[in-house]
Amino acid sequence: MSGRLVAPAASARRAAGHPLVPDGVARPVRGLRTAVGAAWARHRATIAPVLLGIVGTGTVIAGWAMITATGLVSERSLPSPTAVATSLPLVLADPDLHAGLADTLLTWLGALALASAVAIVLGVLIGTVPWLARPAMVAVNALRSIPSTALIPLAILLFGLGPAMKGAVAVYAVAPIVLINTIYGVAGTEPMRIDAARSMHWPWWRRWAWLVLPSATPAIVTGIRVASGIALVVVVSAELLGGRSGAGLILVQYQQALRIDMAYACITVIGVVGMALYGLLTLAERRTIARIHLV
Amino acid sequence: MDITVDGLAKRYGEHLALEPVSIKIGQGEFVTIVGPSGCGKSTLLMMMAGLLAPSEGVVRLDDTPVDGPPQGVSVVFQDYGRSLFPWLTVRRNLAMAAVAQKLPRPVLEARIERVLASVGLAGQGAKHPWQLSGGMQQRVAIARALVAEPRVLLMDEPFAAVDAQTRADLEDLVLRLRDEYGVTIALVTHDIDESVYLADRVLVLAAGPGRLIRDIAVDLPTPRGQLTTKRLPRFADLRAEVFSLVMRPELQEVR
Repeated sequence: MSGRLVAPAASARRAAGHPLVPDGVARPVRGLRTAVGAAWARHRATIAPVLLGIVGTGTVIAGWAMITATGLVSERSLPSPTAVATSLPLVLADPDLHAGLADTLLTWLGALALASAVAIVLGVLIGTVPWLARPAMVAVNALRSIPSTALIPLAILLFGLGPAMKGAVAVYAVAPIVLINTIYGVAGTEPMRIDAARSMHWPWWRRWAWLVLPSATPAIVTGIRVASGIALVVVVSAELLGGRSGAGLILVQYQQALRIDMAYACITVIGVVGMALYGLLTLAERRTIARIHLV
Repeated sequence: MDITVDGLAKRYGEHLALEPVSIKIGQGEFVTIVGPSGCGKSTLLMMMAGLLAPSEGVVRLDDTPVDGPPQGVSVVFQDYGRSLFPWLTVRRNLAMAAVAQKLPRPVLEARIERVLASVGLAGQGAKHPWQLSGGMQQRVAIARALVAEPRVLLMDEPFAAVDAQTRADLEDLVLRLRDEYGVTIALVTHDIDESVYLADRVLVLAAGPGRLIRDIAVDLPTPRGQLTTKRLPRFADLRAEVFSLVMRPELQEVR
């Protein structure tokens, strides 16, 4: 059982940070080399991925620089990394982009929250009523096989060009992901705990709130994390394909003004924001799963 | 609280898991149910707990037929790791078990502290189950069953997942709790020594199909002790009797 495996690991982590433990902070540092070595040993788990990330990004940028330097691709469709880097401050200072990003992120957050709320309620319902599960899964999978971006024209007809259109397409795209994860999480509730809850005379709503929902939470937050990335892609796509506001629209405007360097800088900004959001959600996911601590 | 099991049987389609069984367990009695795997001993217990609907027959508690989990009956499940709520502290796990009784907060808290002390977990209430050893987690599971102050305690192989020393400790704990709380106990086990050591009566079940084959009164002196009781010639006799009943199919195969 992982319960027993995790407990010693936690205590070991505590011991490593203790000043009296020989490998810890209180040991006199003899030289720079040993200090660096000790720091590496202590923070290896956190430093290594960052270093690898830098190496990976560096390789991509180097490859990009080589392609533009050799003239393999025309400067008009792919400017050099230095050109993009130079226009980055310009883009970052653009108040239109600030407003656009704020609009995109608000739509993203709203769509994610709405999709999650609907999907969790539906998922708990479907997951607890066995005869609903199969037909619901068939319906969800059928709807999911329609690419969400193909629905953008339809959404424009229904919702116009405002934020409601982008939000609706994003909700459509990500609600099934959270829904399916919720159904699986609910179905995975330990039967022995359900028996325990029944023998403790919990009414159905208490079983939902205190047992089924906590049991499904790790699966649900994983679903939300995956959905968050897709929601951002869909919102920006909707902006590119006809939205009246948002970071995607700014990108289109740069492109139409023939400032390809600024368009690439704008893509970089959106990418960094997306990465930051994803990182935050991954952290939240890990925290939640550690708290729930299912076997 | 008397438990009357009257012609109780369980069938899964064509498969007969348990032939009709009739037993009577008196107030304050400690009955163990022993048998090989597949003899339906857990099935019998779950039907007594109202968690499994019988195919035939009825369970009565003081003449009230059981139809779903009854009031005054608590269950200790086989695997504490899968029956406790890992996202709650020990104290919250215990509080959840008595929530249906709607006790005033101070009463509930006092009860939780008392039960924690009785199972030897005083001061551990703020921890989460997974921060405790296996034996301690099973103590939490037992404490949770006692918080509702049941009159009947049904235990399904409660010590199957712990080591031998912890098992001996927990056996003596349960014997002590029986006296302290005056509960009627039915305990399912596959351990023959345990079935004799704990019980006032041992019910021996056989497999294929599951059926009750013997009801043995255990006339060993009380209080029981791991050394004193297990050293008695009478303990050895009873143990041998149960052993030969449980192992009978295998013995027949050898012949």
